Amino acid sequence: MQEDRSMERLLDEDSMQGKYLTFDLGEETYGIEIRYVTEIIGMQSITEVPDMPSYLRGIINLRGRIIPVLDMRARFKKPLQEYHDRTCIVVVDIREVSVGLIVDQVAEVINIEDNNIDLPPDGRTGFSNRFISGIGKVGDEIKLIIDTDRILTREEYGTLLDN
Amino acid sequence: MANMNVDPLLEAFLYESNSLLEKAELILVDCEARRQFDDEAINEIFRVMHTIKGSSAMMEYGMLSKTAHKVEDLFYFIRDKDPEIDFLRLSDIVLAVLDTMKAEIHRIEDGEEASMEASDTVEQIEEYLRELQSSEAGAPADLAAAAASKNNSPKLSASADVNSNDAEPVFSNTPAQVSHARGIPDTEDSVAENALDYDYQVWMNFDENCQMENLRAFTAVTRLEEVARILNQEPADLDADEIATPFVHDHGFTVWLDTRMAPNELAQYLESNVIYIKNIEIFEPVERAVVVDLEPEEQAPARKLTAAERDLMPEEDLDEKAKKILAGADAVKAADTSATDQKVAGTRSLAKQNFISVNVSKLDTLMNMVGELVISEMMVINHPEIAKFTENIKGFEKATNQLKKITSELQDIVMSIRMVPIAGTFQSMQRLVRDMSRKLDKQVILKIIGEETEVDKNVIDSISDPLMHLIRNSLDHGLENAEDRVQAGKPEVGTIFLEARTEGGDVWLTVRDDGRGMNRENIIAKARTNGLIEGDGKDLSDREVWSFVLKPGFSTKEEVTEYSGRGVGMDVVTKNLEKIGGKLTIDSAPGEGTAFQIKIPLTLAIIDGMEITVSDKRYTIPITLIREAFRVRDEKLIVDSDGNELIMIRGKSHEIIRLHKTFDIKAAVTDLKAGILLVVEHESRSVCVFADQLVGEHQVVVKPVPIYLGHIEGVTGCTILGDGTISLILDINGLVERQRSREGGL
Repeated sequence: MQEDRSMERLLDEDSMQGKYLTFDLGEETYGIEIRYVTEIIGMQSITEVPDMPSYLRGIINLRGRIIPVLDMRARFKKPLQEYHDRTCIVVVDIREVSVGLIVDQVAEVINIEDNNIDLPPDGRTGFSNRFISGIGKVGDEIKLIIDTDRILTREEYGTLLDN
Repeated sequence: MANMNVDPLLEAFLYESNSLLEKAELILVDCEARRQFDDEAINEIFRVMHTIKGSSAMMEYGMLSKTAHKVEDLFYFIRDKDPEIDFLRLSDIVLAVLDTMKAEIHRIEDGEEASMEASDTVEQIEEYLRELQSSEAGAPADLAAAAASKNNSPKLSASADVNSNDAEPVFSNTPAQVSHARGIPDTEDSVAENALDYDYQVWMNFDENCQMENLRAFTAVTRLEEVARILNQEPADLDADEIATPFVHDHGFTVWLDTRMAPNELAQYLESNVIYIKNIEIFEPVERAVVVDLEPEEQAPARKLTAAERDLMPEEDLDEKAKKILAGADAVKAADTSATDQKVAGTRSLAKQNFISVNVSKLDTLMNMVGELVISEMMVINHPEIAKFTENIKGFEKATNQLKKITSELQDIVMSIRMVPIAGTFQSMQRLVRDMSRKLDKQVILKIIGEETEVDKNVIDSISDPLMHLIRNSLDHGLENAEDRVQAGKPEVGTIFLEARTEGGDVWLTVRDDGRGMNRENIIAKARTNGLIEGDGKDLSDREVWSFVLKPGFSTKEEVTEYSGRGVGMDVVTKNLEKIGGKLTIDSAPGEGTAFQIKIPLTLAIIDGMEITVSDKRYTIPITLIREAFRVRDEKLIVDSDGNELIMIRGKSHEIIRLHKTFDIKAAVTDLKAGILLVVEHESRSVCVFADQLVGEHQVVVKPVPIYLGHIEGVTGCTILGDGTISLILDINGLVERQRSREGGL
């Protein structure tokens, strides 16, 4: 079964190229490469786990699989807000680590050509670009492209994902 | 999954060859440690090499078969001539060869082109064999025998003179004559003949489509050699597969042998040990005592028909002869053999194949499914709508009990499938210790305790590397050299203990040495230069100091050796253990040694758990750890000077661990009298865990905490409850640790 899935992935790789799932966090819209996204689920009851940084909200039961969830507002150090009925968990699968990302709401799936993505401005301008790998332009709108590896990196551990 | 497209034959070959090589390696290391090569060990290595030679020749891996051939030659000579052996040199040479063979198998596994040439290391073997032979030849009495053996050895005889036109002896199965061909001295033979009770001709054939008939026949020979003395076989050369395979396929395979077994026993033995056997017939030989007085040199080629000869020999001829034998034997075929036939037919289906290898990912899926099943069972049985029917649901209860019984049996079986004894991993460390002790010139014994401990397959895969690094560390850093040991009043030979045990569902692994122990001052000094601490570190506990050695790049060793000093190993240990949620603690006493203890939490299991709540959070404690649960009434409470709470139960004081404090939970019950205390075992003592209330007992499926979260002190896993929520499974030792560090922090 796993084999089938990876085959599917391989076939789909082309059609996924340049496609991003966008979601809102406060005023900004972020984009994440669609190939990392496995599903989008509604808010679930989250079991807290001791000793975690504040953005690591806990674990959820995803049909028998237990996966950690990250609050993206907390991750990006934005003011927190109550979860509401449009709050979603975007489940991403990055290098065999499954995590859920809590976002205000998901927007749409869009195409962004590579040449419409600029490098993020550097730190001197005061823009915190730690989790942003690029800035995508779609018409007049700006989508901040998320650096998936960085959001999963647990600072206190160094680069856990590099194993 | 990566192996999906691998030819099953190849897969079986790789698996078998790997395990055989490992076996050989173990025997060598073991013999070397005991400083003697006994007959059984030599025979075993010989058999292993013979098997590998045969199967790799069939798979057309030239390097493997040629190399195995050489090793086989060497052991054939040793077995036959019993020369003086320099066992150190022998094991050195052979281990080196085994390594090259392993490397070749790895290359094949990786899909690389297999080499056709024998490895360079075989030259050493050839040289050693020559030395042995020449020293043997030096003894005049054995000279002829040595030459004979050379000719008789199956491998060498293939190239011997072919012009013997007497194919008849192949079928005239006289013990005396054939034993010559096997290179067994006459004197021994006559003794053996008296000692062994039966003398048979065994004919067998194999399933039509079993393929590789020569190999099947070879297995039969190997098996028979364990219980019998093989006198002759037809076809004689099973390695020549282009000839032997079709012959066995068409005419079956015949062996002449001596054994103590009764015919029916023998048939049964073959049935249960050799797969794909279709029919077995056992005859007592017609001609027992025809003495053919031939020189061994002439017989050898006769017994071993070369490829060329066989091609010349008409098929019918062979057929004819086989028939003749069968006809002759028919007369002798006693009632008991026909009884055997019936028996054989009856047991065949049972005995054919007892083992299958299964992809672990399938077991993972099965395990998950069973876990889901248990959860859904809970959901059905405890369904709120069922609770509405208060009266007369006896039938339902009876049915659910039956269901519970079945699911719990199913769980047990699924879990036992995944459990593997740790022995294999432990044994492979013998080789490491052996190699290192030779290189470092230290005398070391590796003592293995609890190798029968069964752990989950996942654990086996993840602990091999950490154990290797820990043992390296003990050998290189921990153990002193012989002089220092004697000076310190210790036995000259150092000991490393490798121990496994299970406790409360956790697996504990210990690597302990009786070496010099760690040096607190050195480590602190090094930690300071590495910038890990400031000051003199006087306030650090021993364990804190020892744990510095786990930091990447930390090594107190001045020079880098082949084995250690780069400060990488211990880093690997922690990284690997992190993956399975394991925890390493170090204890060390100067002059007495160092112990590394690894605790691996329950990885996959279904346990009986007690569910408790603290505020709105749910936790599970394994039932096996709980001694009792009670509400505080008038038991005596003591608060010591550090703020620890103790409670007196039946005259003994127990430390109280308040879960709401350890996990910093708000809105929990804080009045001891309003909540509940659970007395749980902690190492040899017991502690009291304070929670809000008990919910009840459930069977729970233990799931690991996501690796991403790292090790959480006090939590060993989690589980999904009947309503889909997650409950954390508590680890009592961890809770105690938390309590201690919290006190330290205050």
